[in-house]
Amino acid sequence: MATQPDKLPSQEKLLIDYVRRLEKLKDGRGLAHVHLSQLRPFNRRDQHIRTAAGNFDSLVKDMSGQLFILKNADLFFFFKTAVKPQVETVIQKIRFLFGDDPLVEDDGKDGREFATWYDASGQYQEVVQLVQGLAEAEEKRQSEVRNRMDARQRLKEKQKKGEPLTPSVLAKVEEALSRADLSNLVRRQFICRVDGKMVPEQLFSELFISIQDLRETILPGVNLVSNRWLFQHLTETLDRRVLSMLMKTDAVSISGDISFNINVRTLLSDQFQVFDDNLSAARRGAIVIELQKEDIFSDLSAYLFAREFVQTKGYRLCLDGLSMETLQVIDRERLGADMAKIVWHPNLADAGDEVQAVLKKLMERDGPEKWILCRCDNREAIDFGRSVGIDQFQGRFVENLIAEDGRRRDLLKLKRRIERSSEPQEEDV
Amino acid sequence: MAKPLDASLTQEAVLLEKLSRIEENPSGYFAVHVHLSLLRPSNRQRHFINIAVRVFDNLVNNADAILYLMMNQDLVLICREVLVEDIDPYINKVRAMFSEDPLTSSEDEFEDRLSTWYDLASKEDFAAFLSAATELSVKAQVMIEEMQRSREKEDTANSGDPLSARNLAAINQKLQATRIADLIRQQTCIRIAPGKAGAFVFREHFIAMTELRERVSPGINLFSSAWLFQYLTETLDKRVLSVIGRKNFDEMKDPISLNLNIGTVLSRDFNNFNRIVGDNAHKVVIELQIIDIFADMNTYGYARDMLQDRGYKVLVDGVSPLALQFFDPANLRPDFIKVAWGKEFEDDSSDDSRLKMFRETVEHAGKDSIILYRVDSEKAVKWGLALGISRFQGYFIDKLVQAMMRSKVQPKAKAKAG
Repeated sequence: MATQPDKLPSQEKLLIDYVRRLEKLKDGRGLAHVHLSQLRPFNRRDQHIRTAAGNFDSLVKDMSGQLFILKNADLFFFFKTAVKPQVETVIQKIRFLFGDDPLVEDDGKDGREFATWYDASGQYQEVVQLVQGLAEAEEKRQSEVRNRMDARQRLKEKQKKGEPLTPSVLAKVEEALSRADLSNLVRRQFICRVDGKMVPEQLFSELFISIQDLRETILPGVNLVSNRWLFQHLTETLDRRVLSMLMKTDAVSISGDISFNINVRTLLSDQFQVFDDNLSAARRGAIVIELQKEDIFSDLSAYLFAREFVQTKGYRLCLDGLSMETLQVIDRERLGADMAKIVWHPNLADAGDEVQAVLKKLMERDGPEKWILCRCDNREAIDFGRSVGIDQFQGRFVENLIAEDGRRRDLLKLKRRIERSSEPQEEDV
Repeated sequence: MAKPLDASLTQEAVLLEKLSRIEENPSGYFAVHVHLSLLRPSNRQRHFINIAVRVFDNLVNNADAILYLMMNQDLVLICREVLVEDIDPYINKVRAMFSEDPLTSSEDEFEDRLSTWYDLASKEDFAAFLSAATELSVKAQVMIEEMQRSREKEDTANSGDPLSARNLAAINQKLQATRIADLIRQQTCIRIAPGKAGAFVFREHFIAMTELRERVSPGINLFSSAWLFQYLTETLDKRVLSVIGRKNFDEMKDPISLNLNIGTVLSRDFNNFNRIVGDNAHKVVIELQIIDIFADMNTYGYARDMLQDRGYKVLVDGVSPLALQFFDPANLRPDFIKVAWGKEFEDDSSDDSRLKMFRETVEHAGKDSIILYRVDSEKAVKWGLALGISRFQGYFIDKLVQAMMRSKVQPKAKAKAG
């Protein structure tokens, strides 16, 4: 964007300034943090927040306190301890405003609070951390998205990842794809149950084409994923190639249950029918079909039809690519998918109790066998997943665990062998 | 599948032939006629029907059963000595596949509309089925003749080649240079309150796609790939912004709405547009598509907040009655949600989860957020009003607006979209 918006929305910025200045005046002051950000969306509209904030007007007018309304709708009210009873009355009034909201109903349960109280002098460091944490989260969110759109960032991306995909390049890629041998571009990653001791148990493996390697092989210097829609179209071409490759058993030696990503349109195509014809009924039960949410919602009736068809045939369906944001909007159960994948991102862990509560509830409702946390690059991902009840994982870290586990087993075997060979009468195998 | 054009080779003819053989010794035979021709056109597509046929593979391979696919897409199953209970699961699978079609949702009625059964051993049933089969064969013949006729003028047919990576570049190029100002159409969204004159909410500005197609790519079906079409709309967005950006927003009376991609909203083009709009952002509603939103929710959240901060209103478009069963658009926290009016809502008696979901959405989002769209009848308006909805858009509303203009009862223009 040519003109960048302010780095921080002014209220957050003012709040930080205020807290900084508060250090000298903190004696005899308190803070009430009202968690309106946790209200249900329909209770969190501007007019509601304005009405709620209006209750502080008289206190603000007679200089007894200072109010900040944050971007996420939370209210921060700093007050002189002398007026604490009045502040309590005001917050009680606000509670009544949202009497029908779970936030008020659940007040006090599982550590959820409608408002949190701080003593500015005794808990000054806590207040500082709280305010900085909020401001950083907001700034990070802004810069993340802005970076993606920023011309400078785009240039950087181009230099690093190659020319953006254009229609004419797409045509060339598709042309090249029809001749290319993709079998050496197929990658495999396991979905594992990981226990508390970080021991992985392999459940099934996802087969996918490495886009990075595809690019190197076919058109070096072109960033295939730079345009979302053109890339999505390209995946339809890839689908067909992957299907025909899977039919040639010699192309990839596949054992065990497998999964692969595919478009709904491909499921309804002749190519998939041919693929299906070549499978035994038992093999269908060992295949998980992964679908992307935007693909599903681009034509829901086609999805429903395809779902009915593939599930009848015995395949399992997995909803792929859910994020913290989509989790709260898209329901696996309503969509009738057998499983769903959440993409790991540190923001899941940073998002706080509300998101964790949502995830825990899902795991309790569905059972952990229906959920997978994918793209787990580090241990933090597994720890987070396990803390909310997820026990199936996928990603680079999981691959490392498998390798480690393999080494451990080899060592164990070796050890047994040594033990056995040291027993006098036994023959080595 | 290329259908044979010789009437004597049709499945209908083969079926009649089979029937004449059965007539000699009909004991144990029965027929099931599956009326897929009564499905909605959108569900009657070839690949859907082909898959429905495949549902019967197991039955046909393992029991004395033959399946015929009729030219009108109906299926006919002829079985001998098979238990009815063994057939039911197959019919039910087909029913489940088309569960979104009204044809399959009539379970409470006396008769099943999806399938008709005939006991061919009974003289009466045999005669009835024979006449049904004969009718199918006559229909097939008519269809063949029509196909032959249309095949002759196939070249001038306008369904066209699909949009593909090969023709996309040229079309995109042409879009960037083609005059589009005269292709921008308007449709009014109004607020209706009982006993009061309608009030404008906004005028949606959109491109007449069929005319645009004629201009940039005659003979090419722009909608054949959802993804490539979406790509083209990004180019279109830029053109629309530059045309609409020529308006004088200070003097604009009625708010307008524009369909844009999220990527466009975050682009330099929109930033320029924003500068022109200045303090009049409250007069502009930005419509965003579900498919675009789901592709990257994080960016959607950012774009929504940015638009709302600057004073624009955000509208979530592309919500079908069906989609409401699968997610609650209120969670996207826009200012408006456009829900298409559909036949699904019409039949109150078959009221099911769908209406319930809609009520929930209306409740969550707030009545004032919902716009009932594609309103084509007074019935739709009444239906909406009964649910507390007051904002409407569609052909029927266009007529109302025209009538309002003619009777010179000018609707009260509101300076703010609301």
